[in-house]
Amino acid sequence: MEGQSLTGRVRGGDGDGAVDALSLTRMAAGDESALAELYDRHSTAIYSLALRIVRRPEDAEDVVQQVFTQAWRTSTRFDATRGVVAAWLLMMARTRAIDCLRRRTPTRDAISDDDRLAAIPDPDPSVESVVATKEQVERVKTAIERLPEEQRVAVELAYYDGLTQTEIAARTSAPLGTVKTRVRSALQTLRLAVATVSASVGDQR
Amino acid sequence: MTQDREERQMLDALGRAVPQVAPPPGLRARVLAAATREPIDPPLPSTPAVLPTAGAPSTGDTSSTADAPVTPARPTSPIPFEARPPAAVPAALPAPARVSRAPWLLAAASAFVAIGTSLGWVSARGEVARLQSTIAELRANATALLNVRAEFDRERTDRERAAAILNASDVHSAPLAGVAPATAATGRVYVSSRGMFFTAEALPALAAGRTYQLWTIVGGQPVSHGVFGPASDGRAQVLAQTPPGPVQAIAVTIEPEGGVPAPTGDKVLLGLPAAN
Repeated sequence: MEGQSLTGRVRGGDGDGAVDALSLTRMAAGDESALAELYDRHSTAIYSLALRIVRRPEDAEDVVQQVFTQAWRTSTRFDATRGVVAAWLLMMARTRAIDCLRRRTPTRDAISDDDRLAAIPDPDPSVESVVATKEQVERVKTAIERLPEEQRVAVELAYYDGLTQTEIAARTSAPLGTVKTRVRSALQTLRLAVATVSASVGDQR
Repeated sequence: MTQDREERQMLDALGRAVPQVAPPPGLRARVLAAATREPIDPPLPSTPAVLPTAGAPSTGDTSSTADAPVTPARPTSPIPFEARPPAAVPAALPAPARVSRAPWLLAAASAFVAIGTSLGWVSARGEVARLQSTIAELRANATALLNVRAEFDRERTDRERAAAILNASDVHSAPLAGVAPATAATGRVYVSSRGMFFTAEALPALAAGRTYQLWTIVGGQPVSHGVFGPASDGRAQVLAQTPPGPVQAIAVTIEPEGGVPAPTGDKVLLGLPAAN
């Protein structure tokens, strides 16, 4: 499931990764046109994810502004060898959008400390971030559509609403153990979709 | 959950698997104006020893740890390892420290042109054009170097992962033999608690639309360890996670491109670990 071919290896769709990294370098030198270029390349993906999560255009616009402001401010600290800009921006968008959701529904802040972990956490910031290829995205879309309904709902609540497993259990009136199984099974299926594409793209190189 | 590469790709893919909606046209100017009003954080010290702290203290917003770009310490001692033919790494690869200077050189050149132009220091149009073409050249060089360096880092990560498997105290290995008609093919698998490393030689070239898939049989059930294609010299190496239990058999099969949940195609390599 998680095999990684060393011989037929291609990096996830970051053909523009070096261009993005260069934009960050220029931003670090105060070059505002570099930020504009970064916006033109990534604003649709960021806005689309934010809108899917917060569902209100004005809130999604606010998320976009926060993400690019953060990118501008911390451009001096970006290490191009350890992360892909596109993945970093998208990760920020999800975090900010879910923060926005949680502010809107204060009851969700009353989660006990031992239940703070979202069912799907953010990517570990200490490891290299990677971006999915277009093929992988398409595979994941198809795989989501083909998931059993209850698994699809669980994984969507986890990823796009940032709910914890306990919250998903409450929302779907299902036992916690069942929710855990559903999320795990769904993620396994989605990961297989990513894994197979990743290697088959590499084969064609 | 542990986060390997594919899991991180999956998380990124989930973020992109939503209906794509262009932001309203007016947002661009608002975002650019708001962002560039903010001061840029000073760079971190050049010796990366710690992760940057989350967010910036200056604006008091609700940055989470995930927002900080990553600058982790990197291993310094090279680990000699010959599992992969070294041809993919250019012999005269520049030292990473020198590579990372290229973007700064570029930034400095950009700043020089900007200042020079605005103050009228550089009056001749020809001089401006010459500097702009120098910048374009530096930009292209920096891009190429960043690509080389990223590839180099990925190779090193893979080698370190393979070395960790091979050096694990509980590592054991088993040979794989070619199955007719691919009787010339050979392979070996190394299994340890740190992961699994598979290597093969003399694999036949694949027909279009086919892929090799690596399997272990654990508790009578096939476990997929990913798909791969051989290099033009018939070699292949795969890094994978440790099988979920004692391995009864290891096999490589030919499958439709993209792989299958359970093996269906012809076996090319087969190994039966003696003791597990």
